[in-house]
Amino acid sequence: MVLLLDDDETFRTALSELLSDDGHAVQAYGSIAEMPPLSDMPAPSVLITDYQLGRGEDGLDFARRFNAVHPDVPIVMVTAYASDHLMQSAAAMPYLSLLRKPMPYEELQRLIDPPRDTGSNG
Amino acid sequence: MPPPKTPSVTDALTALGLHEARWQAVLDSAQDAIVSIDQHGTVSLFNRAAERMFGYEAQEVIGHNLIMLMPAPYRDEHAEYVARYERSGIAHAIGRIRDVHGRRKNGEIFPIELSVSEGRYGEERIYTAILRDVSERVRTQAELHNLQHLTGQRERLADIGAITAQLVHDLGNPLAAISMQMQLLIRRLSKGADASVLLPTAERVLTSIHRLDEIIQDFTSFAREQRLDLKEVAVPDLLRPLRDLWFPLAASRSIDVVLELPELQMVVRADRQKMSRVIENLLKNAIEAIDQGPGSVTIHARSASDRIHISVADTGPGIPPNVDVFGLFETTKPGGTGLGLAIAKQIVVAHGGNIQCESRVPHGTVFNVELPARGPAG
Repeated sequence: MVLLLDDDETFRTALSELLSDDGHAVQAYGSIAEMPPLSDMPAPSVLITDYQLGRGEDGLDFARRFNAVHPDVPIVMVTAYASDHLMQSAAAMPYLSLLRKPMPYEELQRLIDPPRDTGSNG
Repeated sequence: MPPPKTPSVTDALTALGLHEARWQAVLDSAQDAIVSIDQHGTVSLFNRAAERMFGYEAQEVIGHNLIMLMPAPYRDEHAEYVARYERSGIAHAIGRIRDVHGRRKNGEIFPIELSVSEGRYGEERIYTAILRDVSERVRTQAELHNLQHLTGQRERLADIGAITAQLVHDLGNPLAAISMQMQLLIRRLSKGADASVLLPTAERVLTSIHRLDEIIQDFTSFAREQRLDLKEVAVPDLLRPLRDLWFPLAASRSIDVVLELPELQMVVRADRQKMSRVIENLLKNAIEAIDQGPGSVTIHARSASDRIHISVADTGPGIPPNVDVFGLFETTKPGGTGLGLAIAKQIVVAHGGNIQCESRVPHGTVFNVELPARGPAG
């Protein structure tokens, strides 16, 4: 399951549909406040979150809290403006990849479905 | 009865000696340099502070012309200056404080604050100058000026940085939405999807393009100098259409919009279109602050002496403290650009008015607009 958090409804809708087309179950929310508590949710396979979530919600802060609950789940942070502060913070979070908006869907796809190891052959 | 005592020569000399000793003590302890010259410019007095200031011993200077303590051009002008004063009686330095430059023994030129007084004894004249070395003050002032200049530059750069960051962010988000919707559209098209499936996606693209255009318009009107088309506008004519425009939307959210006009004759001199925009912005913000009723927004107008006061009050949660609502890019609304109230303030100030925000957490917010009035119409 992909957990998607972005306050831009148009972006969220399109990305949800693309991910669904690719066979992912998607749970999408416009804000942290709308989301059920992390402890009540099954662990997603990946979290895609915006940096500035509106209503003063901070995606970076959420990413840290999320990682504390689900340390093995990769996080993709998307943002239209990557400030120096954000890039420095992201560099110190090995579980987090930063993507600049707008991005080709394939870039997200690569982070969500990493190429499988082709060495083993069933 | 003893005869009256007549002062002897010894007594007179003692008195003179004491008098001189007293003056010497004053001269030696003075923090300012004291230099006396005769009418030819020859130095006759050079105190300790002068020695420290110029780097000369008194005996190196006394008996020599004052110009040794001066750099060009004072050096070349001084003799002519004294001669002119003695001829015409018009002084430039005597009795006032002047800023000039001195020259130390090591050749260094430094700024001096100078005051000169004149003394006469028979045909002899003596000019005494008190000199203060103001190098430190001048240096401090120059440093302060530089610092202010640098701070101004840094603030401008920080402003440009903040504006750029905000622009990139505000334009980047709708762009990302358009980009993602188009990628979805292309995929659907390539799979031969039906028009009914494609249409909502295409419409969402268009909505995002409108959003982009709105942001660009907002930035443009903020950046543009506020040129006003000032006319006398009846306050009820300004406020009623706005109330009527927003009433249906507010009513659908159980929010009442009340217009209070205790006087009907109020007139403001305003750019009608721009002032409408200001009030509409406040009204829209007030409705958005309440979000879902029950609640009410009250628009109230009154006149006081030569000013018109228009207030827009809501029963929303109030604005959190420490938010500069009129600051550029300050917003408490999701998706807000933080330009609306910055533009509103710019427009009100251009009218010679004032806008203030009074937050009464948790009992709502009141915005007060004060504008110059121009008497009742007719």
